[in-house]
Amino acid sequence: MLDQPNGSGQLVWPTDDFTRTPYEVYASDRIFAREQEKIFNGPTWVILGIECEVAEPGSFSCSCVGTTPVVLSRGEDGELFAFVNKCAHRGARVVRELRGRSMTHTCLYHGWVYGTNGDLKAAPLSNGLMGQGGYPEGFRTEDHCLQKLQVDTHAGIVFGSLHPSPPSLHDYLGDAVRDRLSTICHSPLKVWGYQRQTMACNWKLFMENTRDMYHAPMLHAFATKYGLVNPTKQQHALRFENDGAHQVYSTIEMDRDADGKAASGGALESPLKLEDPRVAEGVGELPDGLYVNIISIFPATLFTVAANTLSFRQVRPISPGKCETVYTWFQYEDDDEEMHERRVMQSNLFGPGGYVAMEDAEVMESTQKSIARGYEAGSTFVEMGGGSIAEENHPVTEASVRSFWKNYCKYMDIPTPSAQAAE
Amino acid sequence: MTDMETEFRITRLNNAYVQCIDEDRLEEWPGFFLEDGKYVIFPRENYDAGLEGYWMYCANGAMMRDRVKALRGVNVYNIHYDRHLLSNVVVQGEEDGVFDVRSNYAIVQTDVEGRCHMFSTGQYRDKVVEENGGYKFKEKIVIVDSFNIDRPLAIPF
Ligand SMILES: [Fe+2]
Repeated sequence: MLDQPNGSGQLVWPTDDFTRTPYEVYASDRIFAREQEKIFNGPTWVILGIECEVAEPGSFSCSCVGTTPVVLSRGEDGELFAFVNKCAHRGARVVRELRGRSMTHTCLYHGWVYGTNGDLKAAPLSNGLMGQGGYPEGFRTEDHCLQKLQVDTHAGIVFGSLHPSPPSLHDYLGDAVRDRLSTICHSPLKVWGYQRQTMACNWKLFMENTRDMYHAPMLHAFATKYGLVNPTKQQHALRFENDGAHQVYSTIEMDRDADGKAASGGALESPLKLEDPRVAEGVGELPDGLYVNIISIFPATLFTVAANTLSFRQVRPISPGKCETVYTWFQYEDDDEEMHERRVMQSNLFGPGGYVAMEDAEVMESTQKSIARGYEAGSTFVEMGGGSIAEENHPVTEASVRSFWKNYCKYMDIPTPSAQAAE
Repeated sequence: MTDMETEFRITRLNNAYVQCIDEDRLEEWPGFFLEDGKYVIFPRENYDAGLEGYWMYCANGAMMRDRVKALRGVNVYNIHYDRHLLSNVVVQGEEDGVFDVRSNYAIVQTDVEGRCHMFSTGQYRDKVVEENGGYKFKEKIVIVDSFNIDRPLAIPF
């Protein structure tokens, strides 16, 4: 449990090296509420989409930062805005469609009209009706705008922050994340589909999973049994950024063409074979033999670029025991038919029915059931690779999971035992 | 206007199709299709927006057999039973021997502890042809109204 033994109610993490995670953090309402305050309304950034999704003035797209519904909107002059999707009057949802285009957004309830930047343009009957009612003197529309987010972009990817003064997106992402996103988003992008998956598990079980390479060969047997990867021709690189808040994990193929792109997916002689191998036939697209890229950005953004599947996910906590991920498939605007077909074929590998992915939801949901009924004490054991939080060139470590918890505690203001003792 | 016998036989094809899945005879599932038949699970969010983004995409019988083999051999998913509720099988029309057929489906899923919940609902949009005296799917597009999935997608719809 996270409480001090003296009953003060103050939270303390169980170990200094983040090799234990109390089960309570996956289940507790008070922790969930604190996460919304300290992390999702704190000095962090969450992905809102890519620029091409809101290409035209008035284009909008709805998503969430934590539990807060938000709208990403292209203003009249082409500038990007994001605002909380909650009427400044009585809290009704203003924009009800997932995506669309409109130069104004009118709340259903009392007809308050907002512009593409979230500013209130008009409130009906402000001056009353036939001399009766109306707002008091001094009511000014500019005092009742939708709450605005900070918005910034990198390589055409749009991030938002609910915090009034977060660090710059540039500094928050750091060199390694920015560079990899630039490498991936090297030319104009286009979205070709969405997938929504709600899971009966805490959002942090999902984020831990994105930073856990140790599980893959055991849980996702498809990859090894069908010879998708050849471990003898592949290197691994686990890198951290922003003090370990973010992970950039890559597999690097050793066989490359003249441009430095992976020459093949490194397919191996395997016990099982696909009758139609196109599902697993990736071609190298990125420099330096980069093949699988898993970029997990604290707190709730994930990029997965594996062979020719390109996607990002926004992770949305719903309650301690429930979260939603929204998956966006993208490609390059100038892809030819053959490349597009390849992406569609390989998309069978990922998502809720993915050959190398469907197991994740099952394991996370069954974990939630076991650990988070709300009364279990105890904690996880996270010591693969020892207790260090070091960048490694192999996947047999839980360093990235430990690094997640280190940053989690930092944002949540939960001290380690020795920090607590020093106070 | 299709004759009643054709309509009846196409309805029977759909009934047999969902029964095959519910009774876990998945090895027989690709046999409901032509060898170059297509099977796609298509979330409605994408369908309505003119985007592709599928949950499952099988361009031929080989890809369907691959799916079944992987499910039996390597993939792990929630232990459950599926029960399809199929209704409103309508033959919209016929052109060059290809019948355009639509029907509604719902899948009620029961978990390992015996609890059931509504898992998925939507519409089958089929192209059906006659082959060797029987009917087969040339194409089955599953348009999923409930495009926010809340369990792994392992078994075909
Ligand atoms: Fe996984």
